Amino acid sequence: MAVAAVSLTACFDLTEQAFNRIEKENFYQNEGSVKGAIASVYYTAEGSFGEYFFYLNEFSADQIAWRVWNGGQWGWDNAEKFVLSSHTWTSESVIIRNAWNNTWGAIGECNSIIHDLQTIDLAAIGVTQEKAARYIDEMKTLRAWCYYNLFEVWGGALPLNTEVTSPGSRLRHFLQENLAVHD
Amino acid sequence: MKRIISALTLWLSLTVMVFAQGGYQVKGVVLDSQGPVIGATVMEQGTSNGTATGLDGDYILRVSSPEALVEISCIGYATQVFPAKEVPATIRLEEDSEFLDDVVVIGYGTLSKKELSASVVQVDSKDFFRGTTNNPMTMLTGKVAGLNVVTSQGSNPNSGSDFQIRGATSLNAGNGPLVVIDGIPGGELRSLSPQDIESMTVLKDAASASIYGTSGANGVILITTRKGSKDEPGTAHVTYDGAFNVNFAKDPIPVLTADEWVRSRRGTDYGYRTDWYKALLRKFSYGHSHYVSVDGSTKKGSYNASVNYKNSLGVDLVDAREEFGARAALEQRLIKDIFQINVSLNVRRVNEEYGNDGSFGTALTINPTFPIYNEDGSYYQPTAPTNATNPVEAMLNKTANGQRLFATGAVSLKANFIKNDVHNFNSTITYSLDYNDYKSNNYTPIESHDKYWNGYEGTASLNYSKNWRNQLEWLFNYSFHKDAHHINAVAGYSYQDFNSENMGMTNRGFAYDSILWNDIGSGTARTENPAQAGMSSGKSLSKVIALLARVNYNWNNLIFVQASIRREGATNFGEKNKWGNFPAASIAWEIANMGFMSGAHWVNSLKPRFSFGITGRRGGSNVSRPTYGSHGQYYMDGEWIIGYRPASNENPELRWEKLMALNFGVDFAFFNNRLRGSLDLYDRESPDLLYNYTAPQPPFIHSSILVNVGKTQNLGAELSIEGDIFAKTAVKWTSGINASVGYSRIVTLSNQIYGASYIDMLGTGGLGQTSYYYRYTEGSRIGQLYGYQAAGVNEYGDMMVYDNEGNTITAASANAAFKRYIGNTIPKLFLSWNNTIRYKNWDLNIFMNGAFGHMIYNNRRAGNLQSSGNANVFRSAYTTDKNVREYGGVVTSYFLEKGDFMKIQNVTLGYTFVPRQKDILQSLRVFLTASDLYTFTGYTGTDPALLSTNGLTPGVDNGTGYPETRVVTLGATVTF
Repeated sequence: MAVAAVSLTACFDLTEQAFNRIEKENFYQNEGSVKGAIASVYYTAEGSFGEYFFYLNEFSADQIAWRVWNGGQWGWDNAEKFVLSSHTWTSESVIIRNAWNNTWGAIGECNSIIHDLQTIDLAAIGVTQEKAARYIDEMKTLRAWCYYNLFEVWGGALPLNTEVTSPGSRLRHFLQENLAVHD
Repeated sequence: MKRIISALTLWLSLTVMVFAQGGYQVKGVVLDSQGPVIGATVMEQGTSNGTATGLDGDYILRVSSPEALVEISCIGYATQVFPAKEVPATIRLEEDSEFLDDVVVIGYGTLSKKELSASVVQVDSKDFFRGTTNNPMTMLTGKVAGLNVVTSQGSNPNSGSDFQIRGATSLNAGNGPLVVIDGIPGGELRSLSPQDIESMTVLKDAASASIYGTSGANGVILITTRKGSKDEPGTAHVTYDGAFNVNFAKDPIPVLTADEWVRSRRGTDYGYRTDWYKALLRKFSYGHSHYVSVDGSTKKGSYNASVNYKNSLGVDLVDAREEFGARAALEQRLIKDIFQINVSLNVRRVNEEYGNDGSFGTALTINPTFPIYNEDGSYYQPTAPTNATNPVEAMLNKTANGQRLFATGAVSLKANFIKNDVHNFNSTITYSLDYNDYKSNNYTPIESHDKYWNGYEGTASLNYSKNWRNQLEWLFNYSFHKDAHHINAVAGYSYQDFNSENMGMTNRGFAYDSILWNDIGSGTARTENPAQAGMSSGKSLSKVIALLARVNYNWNNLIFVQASIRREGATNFGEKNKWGNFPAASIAWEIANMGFMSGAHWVNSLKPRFSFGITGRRGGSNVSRPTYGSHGQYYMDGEWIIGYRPASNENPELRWEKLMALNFGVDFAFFNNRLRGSLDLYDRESPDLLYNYTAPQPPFIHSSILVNVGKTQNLGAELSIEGDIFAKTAVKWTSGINASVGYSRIVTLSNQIYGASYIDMLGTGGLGQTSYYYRYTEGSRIGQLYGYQAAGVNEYGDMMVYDNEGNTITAASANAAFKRYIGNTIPKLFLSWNNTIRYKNWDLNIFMNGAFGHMIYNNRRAGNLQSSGNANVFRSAYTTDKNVREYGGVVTSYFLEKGDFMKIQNVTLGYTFVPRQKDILQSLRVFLTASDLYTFTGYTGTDPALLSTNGLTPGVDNGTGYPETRVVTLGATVTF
């Protein structure tokens, strides 16, 4: 009977499995996991917006310009940088869109890590309170640095958010609040 | 003309008893439309007293009394019965078309055609296109109203077709129909040989497709393969089917000749005169296929086995495809027919050779005075612009191929619990495994254009992927027949899982070309230049589980009702929404069988029907719950750490897209089925559409999230008519048309939480631009192009466009706010016309296919203006477009052209020979087919019949220039 019951549940089991991912509840296993989450934030920051903020600042001024094809193996960039020099960008231009998306993504990841470090069982994964506090400070600093860069390029009236949320009611609440940045 | 109908067999199988005394004598002649019928049976009904007609169709029969019923019958004709004293001296037999009693395959069962109340069309193999096909789906082109099949590169044997039933209604989850092969959903069409297919049934409306749940929203194509024969036990037939085809390339869009180029274009004359396009064509492009099958029946079962081989060469120098296939199917009944076992196995191996389709586009625009080879025999390498290649070198100076394996096996056990005239109850368990894998290999040599432009000295890459599906199905079938009530019911459980694994690797920097990719680890890039090497792998699994039930009720052949429900769950969806219900119902009324219609003999069938159903679509995997995925690496505290972050914004509310559809139709058959057809009107609405909406950051980590928001609607009508215009004469002519009209539009794109005022699709890819051909807003129709309205060309050669006040301004300086809808690329009318003419043993089939009322954006012309950066351009740059110097790279109505076309798709001449003595040969058919003969159109770009008219972004001609071809096929089918 037990065998029949087990196979019956297997006939209707719809749990989704992801083989190249880690389920959230299993992610934090030791200090290495925390470092992994932090490494992702630096990677996002380094790969995209580090380079792009330089472009946003310099190409739209008149000290440097980058033509559509500047010669050499890596010289063709489909005019991604030229639109900044010629002031013909739109909100969808590659460098502007990616700088915006990636910076906010980094902020979101920082929020997520801060929230996780404040809520998970640190003792179970072998991380001391003091180490966790240090990581939280590191994330807060990085988050502020992201906000600073955004503020520099896009100006004030940025929504300040330090919470992690999921769609639905929290979002409606958030939109109603309509926060602004204080420096 | 005498008709010989197995006279010998019939004569011997009759028991002839003659009453010596008394009774009543009946005598006369039996004829059909062409003359005497030999071997027709004339017998006294209810007895074994009978005779057969002789060589002149004559007979004499003595029956018991003048009131005794005399029955005259013959295979292929409708039976006639008269009281003995009323038997006419000359009896005329009418051919019996079993049209309405045909059995049609529907999902999870079969139904006779007369009982259908939903929109279902079946096409049998005898009506398929003959001639060479790369894909069994092309055999259905134009055969079913509402099914649109487009093959964009017919002569490249490795290309596929895209097909769609009715209009596009999904933004993200796909619009292609489900393919079911012998009851196994999701099969790969190209795993079958076209000769294996016995029939294809198209389920067009939601009522017939909803029994497939979230797989059925775009319609379903059911494919039934040949199984053993149902002839006399112990007989077997062997069939050979072979064909040989030759492909002829059509001329490309004309470009400047080398001398014209020297005169009119800027560029250096290198002194050579090269016809680059011709240099890429194979001298003799042909293909051949061979198929042998054995169909047999045994005392308690039947079997079928076949092997086939096919080899096709593309029109270009390299593309080729070789296929080896084998199939076997066995049916065996056991234990007094209580149990039945069916086993089938289909295996296919495909070897593909790849060329470089982009080379044709380059061939048209390259400097025609370049040589192909240098003095020393090596390939000439152009030095400008960046990434310029020698098209012959790009196509030949590499090795790229792929190997595929398809294997499908199924085993089923059927138990008949009750089987009598009234009740029939049985159950079937089927397990099937569908497996396919694909390995692709690619090697670019050390000396190549890759080295010149990128510095790579040899590139090798390998990719391997495999997919397999397990399916278990347990069905219970019950049918009940008594008096006027006929019930067919099916209920059951279905489990499917979809597995896939893949891996790939790339490396560069090799020492010997001849090793190709077979020692990929030896490349220097892996250690010296890791950015130039790479490896990846992946794996996924998803499941669909369902309980289903359906009832068909036929009352007195007058009212037909069908109701079905499927409760299905899929792993893709969020926790709260895993399961859904998909109901459907339909009803039909056969007016021709009503009492008040008994006088109207000319109406064989007039059946209005109405159906409603809800189906759905699945989409998105691993996005309904939080999962962490790898994201780069960073050097921290003295070591490299792999970054991990949530892989997507999760949406626990994720659920299926719905499709709710109403269908009203009428099936009709008049004049003894000489005129037959159907009309359908439909309204399909698709709410809860999945799409990636912008997610506000913060609080989200990623910039988009997959949510169910929008809604689309598709309205349309289909008409299908076929008539035997000349049926009784020596030369018979049957003609039929299939027509469909319809459109789709976006109803909403926003809800309370997520909104989009527009969705852009199909980027133009211009320099520094992020502009799109399509912008869909609420209320806009699918297929509406979005761009500037052209207002001619000014004196300087600048393209002028209209702004929002009616003034004109140069395109290059126009503001994006001036864009508007400039035309629709989805045809208003799809029409196909099929004609079959028969004379004795000859038959001629002419098939034409067309679409009308749509525009095509000729982006090829836009890239071939006098001011284009290309060396060579189309001649249109100096003729039609000679005044245009600068158009700003924008989407403008100047390049819109009418896409209306009518194509002579297929002309087939065949000869069928059926011998009188069937001891050596059963039948022989020989045919000659010419395909893709000519397209009547005003459009100046790629053949409009090859441009897609399906999906959400059709009608933009960015054609690669792959040659269009005409194909001539000679084939034969012999049955022993």
